[in-house]
Amino acid sequence: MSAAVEQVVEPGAARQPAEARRGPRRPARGTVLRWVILLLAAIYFVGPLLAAISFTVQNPGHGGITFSAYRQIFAAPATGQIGFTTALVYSLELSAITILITLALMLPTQLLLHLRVPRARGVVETLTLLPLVFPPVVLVVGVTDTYTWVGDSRGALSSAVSYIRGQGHPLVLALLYVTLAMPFVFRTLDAGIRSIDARTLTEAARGLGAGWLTVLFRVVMPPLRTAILNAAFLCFALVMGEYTISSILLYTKPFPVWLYQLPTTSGQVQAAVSVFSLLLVEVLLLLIGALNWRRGYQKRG
Amino acid sequence: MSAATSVVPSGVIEAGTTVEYRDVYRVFGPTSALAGFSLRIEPGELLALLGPSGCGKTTALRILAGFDRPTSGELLIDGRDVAALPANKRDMGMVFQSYSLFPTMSAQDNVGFGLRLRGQSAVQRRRRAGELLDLVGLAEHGKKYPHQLSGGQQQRVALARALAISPRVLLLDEPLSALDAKVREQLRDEIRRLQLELGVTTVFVTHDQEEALSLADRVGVMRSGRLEQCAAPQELYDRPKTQFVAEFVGTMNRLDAVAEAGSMVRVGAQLLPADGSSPASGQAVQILVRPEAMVVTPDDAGDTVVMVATFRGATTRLRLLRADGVELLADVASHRAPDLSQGRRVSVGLLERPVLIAATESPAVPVEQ
Repeated sequence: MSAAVEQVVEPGAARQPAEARRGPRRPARGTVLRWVILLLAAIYFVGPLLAAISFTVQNPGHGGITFSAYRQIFAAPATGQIGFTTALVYSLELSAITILITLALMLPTQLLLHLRVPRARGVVETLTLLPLVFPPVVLVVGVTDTYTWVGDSRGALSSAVSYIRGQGHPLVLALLYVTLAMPFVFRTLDAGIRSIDARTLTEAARGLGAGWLTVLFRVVMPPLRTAILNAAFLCFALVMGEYTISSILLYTKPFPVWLYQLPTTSGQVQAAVSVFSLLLVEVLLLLIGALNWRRGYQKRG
Repeated sequence: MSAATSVVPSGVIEAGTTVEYRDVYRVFGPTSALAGFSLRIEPGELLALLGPSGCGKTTALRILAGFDRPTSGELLIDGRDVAALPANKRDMGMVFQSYSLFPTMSAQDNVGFGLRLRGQSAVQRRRRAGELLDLVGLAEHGKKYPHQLSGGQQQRVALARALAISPRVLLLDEPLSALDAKVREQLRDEIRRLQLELGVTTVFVTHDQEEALSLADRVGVMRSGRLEQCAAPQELYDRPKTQFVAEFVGTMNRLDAVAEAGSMVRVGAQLLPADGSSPASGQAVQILVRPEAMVVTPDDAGDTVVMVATFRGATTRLRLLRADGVELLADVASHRAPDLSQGRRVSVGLLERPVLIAATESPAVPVEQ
């Protein structure tokens, strides 16, 4: 009996905080390793950027800091030249058109594949991969031939294509970018739709009396907001960074082309433009991302 | 659930609706999900469609909801063929197995969704949604989002959402399957209570026979796209029309017997009336007997041994082994179980009630559901 009593553990001991029993908290080895990796990654990514920024604000010969390189970016362009604002607005316009067309095409396509024709998914997925298979030059040649063929034909479509091409409208380029964005957008939306059980939601809404447009805009798209924004991210990043196709097609207004053709020999100005464009794209991406932060139905959990 | 929930919102369901399937076929390539399916559901009735996986019960429900179309045949709602009517024009309220609440809408908005599509103002929607959430015992949870509700609560909201539009027919597609046992039982009772209060014609699809038998006015047992039998639960259990129904609903023992004159069968020394069929006198047959119709008596000279005794609350199920190697199942009152423990020799008889004659080619082993 006494032995049994001796083995009884004080109730308070069991309730003692684990931290107190272990003594002073020491960071786990894994935590330290994570911070080291994060630091190395930060140095790898931020280091060159800081070096570039440092270079752009140096005042050679006089010492100190100057922002003259950045001022030159916003200086009025010479006659016949394209300015920074024109190039940026053109690329933003191009991005918006690309995002809208891509989503307008891919979202209903994905819904059809998930709800009505799941057997066609493999074929469509393979088709969306083709832009990754063909080099940009091949795409451009194909598109040029197609536009020429359409332009040579008669009718409203031919007139419209000729007019748009003649005006240097971003739509022509945007259609190409839509093709380039397909592999990424297809998969992003596919993963999103899989995660929400679109079939049941659609059927629930249909049963309650919703038409297809209501189903799309009020039932399916709201829970897909993250996937849609991710798709928009990808389109935006693609358009803001694409140079080859727009250059071959002799577009001079897109931001990357303008950047390459900047009429300056100053390395400082070119670096300033690079830094500025990088930061600008980052800020715009963060702004798009901010749209996703206000997800009330999750935050209120 | 609060007492207030027994108050039915005015005008939720106006009148029961008649549903009739007439020789409906639904063919998917080489497979027929429905093959000549015919069924009439009366106004205000709760009908359960019961059957094994792939028997076509969900297809029948989806055709009624408008999510699928029959390959041929007619689907009549209140006498009007609606086979070509799209789902959003049918006024059916459906509850799915997987909850299916709209994740970006609060419980209140989910319930009000169908009302909004019908042009009701925000005030009307809020009032009606409040009434219906109260009806399902979730008056305090209207502002919550689906992920903040438990599975049972989500399914209650789904039920309120389906009822909000005053559906002509309430469709329940295995709504309890994803819930744990206790919640399932509670919600099952609530569904029945609401259905009785509202008088809405309801079709309930399930593979769980206990659910079907305890909930429905009538149970339709399906097999290979056809209706095997549609009857009240008690009738289905006591007087199954086919061997499939007899073996699918509940548990059956198969026993060798010999047909006698006057629609009787002889089982050992007992002479029992045969239910339905009348085989020729002297013909060897097998009969189907429920475990509760077995009479088990302790008997040291008996030729049967208790192998396993499983306590099941009010009754105890005995697995018995006869000297000729035939296994039998018997249910006895649990207070008698101590006398019928494992290894005990017993004698087995049958209650004096009509027995169903089975096809003779099947093996003589009990089929437990």
